[in-house]
Amino acid sequence: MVKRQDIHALAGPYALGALPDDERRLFEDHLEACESCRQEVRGLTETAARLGSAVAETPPAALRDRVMAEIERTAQVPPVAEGAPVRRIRWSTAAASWAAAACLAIAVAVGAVAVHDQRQAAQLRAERARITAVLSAPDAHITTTAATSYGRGTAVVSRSRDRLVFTLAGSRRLPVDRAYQLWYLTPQGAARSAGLLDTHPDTTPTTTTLLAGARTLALTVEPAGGSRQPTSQPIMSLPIR
Amino acid sequence: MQGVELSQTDDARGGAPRGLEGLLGDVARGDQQAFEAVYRQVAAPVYGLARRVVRDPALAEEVSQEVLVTVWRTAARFDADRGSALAWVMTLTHRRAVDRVRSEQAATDREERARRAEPPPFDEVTELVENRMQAERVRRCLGTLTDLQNEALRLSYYQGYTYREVSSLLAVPLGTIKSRMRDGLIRLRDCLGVEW
Repeated sequence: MVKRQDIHALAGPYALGALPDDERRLFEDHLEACESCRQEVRGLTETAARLGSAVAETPPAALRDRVMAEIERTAQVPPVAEGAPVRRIRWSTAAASWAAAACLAIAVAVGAVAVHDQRQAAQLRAERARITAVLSAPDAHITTTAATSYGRGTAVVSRSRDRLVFTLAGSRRLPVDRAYQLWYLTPQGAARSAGLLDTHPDTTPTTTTLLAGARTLALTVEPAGGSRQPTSQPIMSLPIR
Repeated sequence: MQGVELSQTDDARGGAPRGLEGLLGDVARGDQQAFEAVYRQVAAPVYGLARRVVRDPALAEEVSQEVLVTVWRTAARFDADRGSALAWVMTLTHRRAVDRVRSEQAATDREERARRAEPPPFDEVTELVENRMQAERVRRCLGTLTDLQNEALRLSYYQGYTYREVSSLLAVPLGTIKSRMRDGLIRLRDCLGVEW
């Protein structure tokens, strides 16, 4: 069972807090590059907040004392420095728990690697830029599989960017001699590798160039290092429009 | 009493000189007096929404305390470009409350519970509202929505269901639910005259 949706249509569920975490992160990434979406989301979020304040109810008086006592011993976070390069960081910290975790994970990965290997860090930064380009594309479409015992796969496809971004949420850790491998399948049944997933697929999206003629994206479990052709049945598959 | 409550409401909307946005700036600099003023303006909306979502009063208090301390701790990160201070606080509240209900029950339990326990009529939950006039406007505007828009908004916002869960609860296709959430909110926005 696969659902295809226009990423812009997620504005309503997002403002209502009705997106599952993985889709929320993807949508927040999309917001970073879509000014008109940000404007709409702003108005819809204000509206949802009215639904909240409409059910206001006086809390027990003891709450105030407990809160005041707790802030006495709670340190405050400093404001984010002006000119912070990535607006996304401001956004996610502004709302504390609104973490765009997938993106932050990439940022962290970039930072960690930079210490050891400048060239690899540059590659990772380029990778992040490619992912952002897909997520912010006007024709970006999300497709999501149903939850499986291997987690739930989500692909964002942009024909105009000629790329695809795939994430696996709630994935199962594989034995060290196994790896997740993505495949493009054509209607004729031909398979071409779309790459191996990172060892932590939950936090690291994979991006790959679209294969002309491919109509399906499939995920298999392969021997570590990957295979030239799939050696097992797909554990999940997604149509590519 | 009523008069005092209404003036607080006006304050919360930013009509008074010390609007929430300005107060948060002072809170960010460690001003506990300013935080008390913020508390007076937002505690009831925060607690009311938490209570509506998590149901249990003790749990709602816990959620409220976490949210209000988060407001203190992260006031410096509030960004007025992103929306009003009240919307920021309510979003924090909703996120926290929903995290609690989603983590405490498997989705199947929640769907089962929802089938058994219909949401209470809106009038009941607005009994204790401080900002009675605004609540009345929200109630009236919700009345202009279609039944499906109404249900989609209530199930997701007040009960913390994801749009996927709402879709299966109401036996309506995912795409339809998404659209009803968006166009329902747009209709509500226009009816309330929300400007952002």
